[in-house]
Amino acid sequence: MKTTASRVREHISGLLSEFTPAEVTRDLELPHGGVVRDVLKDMALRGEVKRMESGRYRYLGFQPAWGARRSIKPRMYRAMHVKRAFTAADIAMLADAGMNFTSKVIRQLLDEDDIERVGKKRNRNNQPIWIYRVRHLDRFYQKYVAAQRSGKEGGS
Amino acid sequence: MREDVFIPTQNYQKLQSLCEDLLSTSLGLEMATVVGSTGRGKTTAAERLIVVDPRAVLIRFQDWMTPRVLMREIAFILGGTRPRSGAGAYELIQSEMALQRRIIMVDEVDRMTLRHVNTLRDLHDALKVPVVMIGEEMLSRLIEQERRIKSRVAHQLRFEPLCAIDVVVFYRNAMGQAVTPKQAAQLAKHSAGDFRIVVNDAVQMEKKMKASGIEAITDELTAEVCREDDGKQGA
Repeated sequence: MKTTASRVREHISGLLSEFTPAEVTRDLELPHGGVVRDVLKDMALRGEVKRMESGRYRYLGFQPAWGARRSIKPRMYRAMHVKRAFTAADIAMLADAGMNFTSKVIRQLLDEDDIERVGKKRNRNNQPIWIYRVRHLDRFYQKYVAAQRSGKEGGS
Repeated sequence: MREDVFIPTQNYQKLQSLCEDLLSTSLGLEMATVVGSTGRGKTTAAERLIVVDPRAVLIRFQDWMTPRVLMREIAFILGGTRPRSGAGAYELIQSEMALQRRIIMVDEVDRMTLRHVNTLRDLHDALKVPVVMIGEEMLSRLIEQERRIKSRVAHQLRFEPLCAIDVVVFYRNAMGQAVTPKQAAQLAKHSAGDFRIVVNDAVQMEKKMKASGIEAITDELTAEVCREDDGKQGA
């Protein structure tokens, strides 16, 4: 099953002129334009599309190297292993990952019992945030860091 | 203020190019030192480097580590097991290095004894492993104690105090604010090169901006933040 992003990409790559999110939403018969706007925002950040002054977008082309998200998870595991105790922001900062994706990976690791919550602190914006700890450093290293290095997918 | 952004300071960029140099050459002199005061971002730069580049590994020295434990830790970080004996650890390091050449970065080397540093020297000599030793100013004195170590250190990188450009990049990336060169210079001077003070100043700045409804950083606000902190330090 195709994702919305790949449907959008397939559609806009065939367009000869500039386009608006509303036009793409209408052409793909999506329920509302918010999804397309988000997809185009991501694409603009990657340099795949360019937002013109008129508010319309121009498709510039896709490079497979942009799908580098696969390399982010191993980075996050390495960051967790090296930090031992960390906040989500620490990992996002070291691994160049988004906060949403970092939180998602942290939730997965919490479910797997590979990391645990050890306390709360306030961040610089005075909001409470969790501090996590790798439960067993050596096991974590074997399961995630070493496994990724040897080309196997760590964890489930 | 965003806490999830990494600021590629000039020091970090120098460390990155040093590691590239070490990996690309094999002249037999691949020991390097990274020296700098506290708060200059040595450890964060090293952590970032090993996270983005799997060819580098980082070992943080702790006081309880004997030279044998240090070898076992290096073996573990490279090969994933801790052989009981020093010889076993050495063999594992050797086989891992034969598979892929990697940089061994060791943090807190200034707390090591000469025996530990000589263990690293042995690794470097026997296996041609690039070794980067990171520490505070004491590290330079430790290295100078033995000529055979000093002569092997081909690269010496000093982590300089944060400069105005780093401050500009920090405010832009973490706060989305533009600071003028004058303000950046003032903030850099006030921090005395310590990244933690730059961050604290930015937190104060943001609080004041929220309280007074100001949307852009002004010269007066910068002066106030720097002055207020001086008052606290003096008290």
